[in-house]
Amino acid sequence: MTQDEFDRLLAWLDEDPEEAGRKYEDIRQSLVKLFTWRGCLDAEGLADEVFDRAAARLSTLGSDYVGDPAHYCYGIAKNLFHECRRNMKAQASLDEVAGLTAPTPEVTEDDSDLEHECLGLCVGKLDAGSRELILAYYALEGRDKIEARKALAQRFGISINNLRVRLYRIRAGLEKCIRECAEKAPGVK
Amino acid sequence: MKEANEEESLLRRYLLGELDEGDQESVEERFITDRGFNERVLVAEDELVEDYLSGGLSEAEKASFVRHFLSTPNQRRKVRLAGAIKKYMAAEVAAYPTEPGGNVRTPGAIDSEPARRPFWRSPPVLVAASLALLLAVALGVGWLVVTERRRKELASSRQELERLNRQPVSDDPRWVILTPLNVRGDREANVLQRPAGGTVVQLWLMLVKDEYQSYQVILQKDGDAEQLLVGGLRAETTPHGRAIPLRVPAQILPPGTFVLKLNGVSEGDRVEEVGEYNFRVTR
Repeated sequence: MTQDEFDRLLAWLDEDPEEAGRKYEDIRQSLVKLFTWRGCLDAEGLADEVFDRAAARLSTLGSDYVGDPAHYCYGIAKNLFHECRRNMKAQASLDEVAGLTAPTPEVTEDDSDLEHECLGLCVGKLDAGSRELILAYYALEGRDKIEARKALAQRFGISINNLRVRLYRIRAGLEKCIRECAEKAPGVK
Repeated sequence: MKEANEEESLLRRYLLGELDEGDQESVEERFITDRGFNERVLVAEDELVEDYLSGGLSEAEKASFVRHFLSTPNQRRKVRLAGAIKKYMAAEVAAYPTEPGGNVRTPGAIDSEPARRPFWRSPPVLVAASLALLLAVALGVGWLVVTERRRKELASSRQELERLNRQPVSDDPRWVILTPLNVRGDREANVLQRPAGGTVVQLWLMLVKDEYQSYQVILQKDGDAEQLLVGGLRAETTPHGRAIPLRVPAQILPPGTFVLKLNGVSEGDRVEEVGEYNFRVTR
């Protein structure tokens, strides 16, 4: 995608450049999740491909599409799902021929030292409220899930839904922090 | 409430790959266009992972989770990270007293108990604690000396690894070929006879696909905490296909099993896991 195409794409997403940038990131993140859940290996590359195709169409047809750009991007993504599925099938057939197919491994606990170090750093960055909440949640591990959530929500004076969202945001924030930390200093102790 | 439960169940089935194409697309379209729904799907994913890690999935759900949700390396890493967070938090919880409602009394928490001298402030306990503290300090100094020595050894190994791997690939035919574990489908390690000190072990790490600008390798002895990283490696063409050349000084390879993690580095310095290799050094 050229700079001109990218600028046109952003202008199509929103007139306000800041809002356009935010929408671009939101749609991209959502696309990455969708490709991942569909089992596509290069989810990030495919999300970029959606924008490449959208930008190419904007260049040739102009931005006369009326409606939510996210909806339009999803239309392109659906075509890519089919391509991804075809590739997966082809890969599976090749693997069968070559006798390479191995069962999907379950997750093992071989968390690297580096990730463990990063985890310590990231937990240390949590604000006091989040730290208290997540520790309280794990302290109730092993109890009935529904009862534990009720007790926690009551203690923190929030609804159960709010509690679930807060726990998700804390864990998602930790995961993002660990990934960024590990990528900045891979393997370095 | 009923609607919320139905939605949770629908999202869980979506994440486990159990919906038909039409329902799948409805979920996805809302996911990308509706912010509130978007977060609800992410919450459902987070809880599904937690349930898997706590053993809270039924057998059928677990089978779908492993077959569908864990089908990509990125998802496996996500779940592994969630497991690490859970383990870390469990250790934190275990380190501090917990009240029945899950209130963890971390250091710094305001103590609202009545001001009564606790047993551990009595003189005999204080004397014993002081002696234990002295012993701990002595042990700590010893540990620091050993750690510092080990740190210097590691720094020297890193420098040697970097120096060796900056050199161009030689025509020396004594290269050992290692195939990625996910291609081999087993974890049986290649066996290397321990080479004499001063020599260099030359390894070809075979690639399934060469799609990165450069690569980095993390070398770790099984059971050891220390890792050695070599970066800036580039793929070469061998008679068997594209591969990464890696040279390791024999002196850092004592008998034991070693694991090599290969990462790809793309534009913008994004690092991604590519594969894992192993080998065993015998006496």
